[in-house]
Parts: sequence; structure tokens; C-alpha cells
Amino acid sequence: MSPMAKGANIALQRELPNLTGVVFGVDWETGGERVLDDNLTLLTVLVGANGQALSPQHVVYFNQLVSADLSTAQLEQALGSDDEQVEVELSEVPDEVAKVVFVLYLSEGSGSSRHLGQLKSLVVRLLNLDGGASIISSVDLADDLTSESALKLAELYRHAGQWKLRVLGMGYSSGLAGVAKEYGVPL
Amino acid sequence: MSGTRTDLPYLRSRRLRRPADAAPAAPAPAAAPAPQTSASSLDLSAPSAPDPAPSSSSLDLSAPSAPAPSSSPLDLSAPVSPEAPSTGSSLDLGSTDPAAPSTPSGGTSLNLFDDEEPASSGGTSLSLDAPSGAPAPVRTSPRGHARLAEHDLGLPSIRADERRLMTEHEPVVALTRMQSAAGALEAKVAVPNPSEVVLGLVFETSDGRQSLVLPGLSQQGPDPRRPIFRATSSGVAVNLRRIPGVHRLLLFAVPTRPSKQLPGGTVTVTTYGGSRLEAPLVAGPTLGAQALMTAYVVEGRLVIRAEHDPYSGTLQQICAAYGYREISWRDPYTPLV
Repeated sequence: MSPMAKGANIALQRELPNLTGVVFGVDWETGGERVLDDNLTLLTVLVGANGQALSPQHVVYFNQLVSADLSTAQLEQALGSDDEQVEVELSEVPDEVAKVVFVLYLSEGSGSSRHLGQLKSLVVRLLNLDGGASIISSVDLADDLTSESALKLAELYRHAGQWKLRVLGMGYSSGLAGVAKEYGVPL
Repeated sequence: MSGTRTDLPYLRSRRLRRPADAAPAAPAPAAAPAPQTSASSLDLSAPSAPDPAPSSSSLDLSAPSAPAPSSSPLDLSAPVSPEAPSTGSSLDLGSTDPAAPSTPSGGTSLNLFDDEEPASSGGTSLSLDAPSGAPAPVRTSPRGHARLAEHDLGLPSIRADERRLMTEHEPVVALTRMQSAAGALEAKVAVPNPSEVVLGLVFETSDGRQSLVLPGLSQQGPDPRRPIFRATSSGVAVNLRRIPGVHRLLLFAVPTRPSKQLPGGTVTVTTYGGSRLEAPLVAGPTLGAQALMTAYVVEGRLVIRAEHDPYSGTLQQICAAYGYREISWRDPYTPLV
């Protein structure tokens, strides 16, 4: 399958009727830029129909590796070629969750100013949680980045009772603060 | 989490991309951002002092307490209170070796790693002792994802953009996991003449390393290439992206006047979300350094306490009083970093 472009979507369970879970992986290349490497952070938000995170416990990241409902878990150390991976057991995601959004942001605590436009490459991919077969990968999302400090990578969302994935590549200039504001995550 | 799982066959067919020792940005521990296994007890008690703290609070962090033994470093109680000199303004730690932590016999002992209910009321201590050195997960998904215990510490929290004066009666604030992981925690001091005082940090990492950040001496640590703690133009900061690597820290002030007189003012600690903790910087003579605030990482959350310590000391004495004893010194005012 050719890489998915920004905005493209796929009906996962139409392609794979027995799909019960996925691994969302992010693979970035910083060109050896240590501050970037150390501060790139994957954040996964389980979003309700109102567009807000179900609760602060439904936000998964390095300091909270598993969602409150146990459906979504970030691996402590990604496997394969990815830098970060999140497993989503689709069948376990609560009905109140309308979508699962994956965000990459640059943590701003290092005192050094960096932006996502410095990334050499940024590709996301989806694997079947059962067996690890590749389902899709994206085009290089770094191509259009400039001064963004956070980026919505992709979202899993429900449509007609089935899960779909859409590749997004939508940037924020306000970093984690902008992401938190959009999804109602208290800081 | 995934490292030992056997229920995901595909994991075995995916190779690790990086060697473990090259992993970036210190991911959260598999077991959880919980108290360290090497330091598995959190003793918030206000124990062996002659006058126990008031019993109205289920968790009292205010009373001076027994010294924190270095092997049991999660102690949010006030530091060793040496025999008060007659002047009431100095700290002599020469004869105050820490005693064994007293068992909170008469008080409420809340063990957060047991399923049992806390012991009976009337006391003031909170113990996070884990029988096996690591907390047990509370729930596990069919695939083995475990969400670890997240206890209500019963401590005040703070909202984004809120200001909080940390008084002697309410000196403690517990940040949320997100507040403890977003951006930086920045400490500054507001005084009429900022050149009269500098802020520093002494810290212990989750792997047991102790060191200091002190402007002009040690700008950042523990690893200068990938610092967690750093001096800023107006104070000190902690990069919370690295919070899994932090165990505890002490914020202190060092007067720069030859008289070692601290100016009066306010110490502020701000979060990424704009929460601001404030504590008074009390004007007066010191012996070289004054402890201001302590912070411990408890189950991924930073618990911050304004110490309101009536005693000053040399920097070496202050560090020792708060259990930072794994530091070498050039002289009582100058750490060997």
C-alpha cells in the first residue's frame, strides 16, 4: 500500500474484519539534534463526543503510560524502527470515546528553543496488534513543518460502528498548551 | 510493561531499535513512576518530636520531625531540628546524626501498598512502604497493560493559573501527573535587589545520584549534556520531561552579601500551566544557606513543601539536614561538583 497522505483515511475493519487492536508507531529523525531527541513527546488523548478528553486519566504519555480504561498504553520502549509506540485495543475502548488522537509535541522544559521544522523526517505507521503486521504508513509529515511545536499526527475514530484512521499532520504553534486547550486537558 | 510480556507474539519479532543505554529521554519506569525501589518508603510522619503535630489532619507535614535516614529518603517532614542554639538563628548539625525512624506507634499509619484500610485515626503519618519494594498494579487489561496504583495522598492541589501562598499551616501542594510532567518547574526569588541572593538546588535522581546546581559553580546537572536541573538567569529550573529520572530535590537560597544576610522577599515556583506557589523569603542573618522548599516524586506526582525552616546553616549542613549526604565538599560552603 502506498503511504497515506495528510487527510487520507482508511476503514480499518473493512480492510481487516478481525482487527481488534492496533499499534500506532512514530518514527522520527532529528539528525542528531540532542535537544529534539530528548524532548519530543508522544501524547495520546481519548476524546469524547464533545471533543474533550474524557478525563485527565484518559491522556496517555510518558508519565501516565496507561489510560484509565486500560484500552490504550504507551510502551516504555518502542520496538522495531519506531521511536514511540502506543497500543490501542480497539475492542476495549469505551463507547464514550469518539476518537483517539495522537499528538507529537516538543516539551518546553529544556530551556532551549527548538521546533518541529527541524525534524529531518517524521513518519507514522499502524500495525496489527495481533501479529504485528504493518497496516499503513504515512508520507513524511516533516516535509511541510516550519515553526510548529506540536503536531496532531493522526486519529482513530469511529464511523458507522467501525474504526477508521485518518492521517492529520496538523501543527500547533502553541505547543502542549495549545493541545491541552483544545482537548480540555488541565495543566 | 512490555519488556517482560509474553502475550504479544509480534513483539518478539520486532527488534529493539536502540540499545537500552541509549534510550532517549529516560522513559517512565515500566513498573510505574512510583517510589523508587531502592528507596521504597515515604514517611510523611511528624513523629519523634516531643510535641506531636495536631491530630486534626490525617496527613500532617508541618511538624518538625525525626531526621530522615538516607536509606529512607522519602520524608516530607521537616528536617532534623538540631538543638536550638540560644541565638535561635544557626544550625549546628555536628551532633545530630539521624536516628532510626521512629515507628509511628500512636498515630495513623496509612500504608499505600496494602489493600488493608489505614490504621485507626488520631495520628499524622503516611507511609508508602512497599512490602516488596515496588507497588502492585491495581488492574490489568487482558493484554497485560497494568495501571498502577494512584493513591489520593490527601494533599492540596493547585489549578492552572492559580496562585497559592504556602503557609506554615498549609505548606504542601501535590501537583497532578500532567503538572509534574509538562514543561519546566521554575523557581525564582523576588527581592528588592536580586543580586543579593542566589537560588540553588540539591537533588537526588531516581538512580540515586546526588548533586547540586548552584549558579556560578555548577550550572546544570546531573549530566551536562542532558541536564534535568539547570540554573537560569533568575533562578533554577527542572526539565519535567525528565521527571521519571527525578527522586527528590531541595531548593535553597544563598545570600551573596559578606554578612550572609538574606534579604526579605518571596520565593516563587511556577508550573508550565501557570500555577504559582509562593513562600516568604525571611530577611535575617544566616550561616550561609537557607532551605526553602523540598519536592518529592510520588507515583509520578511532585509533592512540594515550603519548609519554613527556622534554622540556617552552611550549605553543607543544610544538605545534610535534608538527607543529601552523598556529596563531597571543598569547604562547608562549596560542594565538589
